[in-house]
Amino acid sequence: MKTIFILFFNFIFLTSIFSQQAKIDSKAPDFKLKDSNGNEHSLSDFSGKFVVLEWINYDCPFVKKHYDSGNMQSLQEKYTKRDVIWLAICSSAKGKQGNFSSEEINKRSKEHNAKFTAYLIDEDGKVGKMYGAKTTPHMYIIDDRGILVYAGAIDDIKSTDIKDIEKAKNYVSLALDELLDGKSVTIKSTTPYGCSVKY
Amino acid sequence: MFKKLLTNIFFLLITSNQFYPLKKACTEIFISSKDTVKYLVVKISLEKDWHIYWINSGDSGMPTEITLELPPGISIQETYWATPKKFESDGLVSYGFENITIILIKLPEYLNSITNNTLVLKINSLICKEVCIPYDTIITFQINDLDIIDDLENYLSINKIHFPKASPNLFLSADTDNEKVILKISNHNFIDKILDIYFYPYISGVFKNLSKQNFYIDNESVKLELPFDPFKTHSPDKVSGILYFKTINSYDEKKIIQESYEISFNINHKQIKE
Repeated sequence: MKTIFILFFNFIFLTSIFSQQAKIDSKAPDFKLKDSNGNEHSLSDFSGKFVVLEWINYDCPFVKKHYDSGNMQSLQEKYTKRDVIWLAICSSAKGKQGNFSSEEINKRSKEHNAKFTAYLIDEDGKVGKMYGAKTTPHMYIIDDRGILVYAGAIDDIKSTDIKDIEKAKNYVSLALDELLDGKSVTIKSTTPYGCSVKY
Repeated sequence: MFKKLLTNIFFLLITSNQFYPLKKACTEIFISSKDTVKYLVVKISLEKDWHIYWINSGDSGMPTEITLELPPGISIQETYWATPKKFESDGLVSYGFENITIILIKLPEYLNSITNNTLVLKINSLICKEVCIPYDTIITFQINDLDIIDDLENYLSINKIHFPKASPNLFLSADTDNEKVILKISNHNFIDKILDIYFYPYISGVFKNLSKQNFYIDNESVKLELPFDPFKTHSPDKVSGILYFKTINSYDEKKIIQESYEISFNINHKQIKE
């Protein structure tokens, strides 16, 4: 009887976490994932901090645009220096584009000189689906109260052309600068663009 | 004899796709006219299982952009897109085309003034199968050098390309709450024969991109549910797009008719009456 109760409780608990949908201006759903070094991280570990979630797939042309140009890394470095937590999350399923071994992830991250706080592996896609992540990149910003305040594209020019980066309005920079200045985020959602997340 | 057969087989293999596979996509352009209107016919052919995106790419990808650079002072009249189809993968729905798609660019009436000019067609897009690659094309041409398609309707039919028609006498009204829009469609001839309906919005970021949109018959109208995207970017008062119908042929119930119409409707922000 006790076993049944425990199993039932766990089912309800797990179901409620993984079926939960993120919403703007609502509490960002908590999650726990391992990073590419095998360490576990929960969103709740970073309570009181601004957090960026960056959906990633190193082989996607759009992710390549932002990494080959150094754009993503410079954003990561700029804001992690200001105590923002930057989590890259890969929801590519095993055998699909973007799914790599931990060794390969670390090798590529080093090659790119990536400056995220951690690269989290979401191989079963539960966290991606919880957040409605559709593309790579797909960007989310959570404020220091744990509220989701931005979801969408990294910038406003939908292309794979590196030359477009300097011309584009960067929504992530805009939102983080506003938050770090103690202001509310002006643009809270935009349509993401990129490769589909390979669930 | 045997040696000749081997030579022929070898030649066949060399010239077949096995040794020279098709490029993933290629673009050809032609000139055609319908009624008195002249069009630049842009035909994009894709390798099997590859697709290219519509002007609203849906959940992922990148909208296809097509531009035609004309001499100063002359502008494109209009660009026409075929009715897209849905591509679903792991719960994500995109809009685009596979095999062949044709885009029509209406040319200025005073075509003679540009026939000797060098024009530039640019396509900026993405093509995908399991992975995606950029497909950017620049074609420099003169109108006089293009092949002519004599019968555009026939050409579209042969290539199985369907363009949305101008809206017939459909009566459209749309009510909304915070969750969805209910689009009421009246005065369609075969409401009781409808197998499927789908609305492809021109704009992204407003509605959820679903593999199927729920609809139901209500008296003599059809009501189509269009749920909002959880991360809706804005709340437009007016929406345009393509409304697609799949109906049973009233005269031959074994036949299915597929038709699509360009529509626009205003959204009434009042409580939905269920």
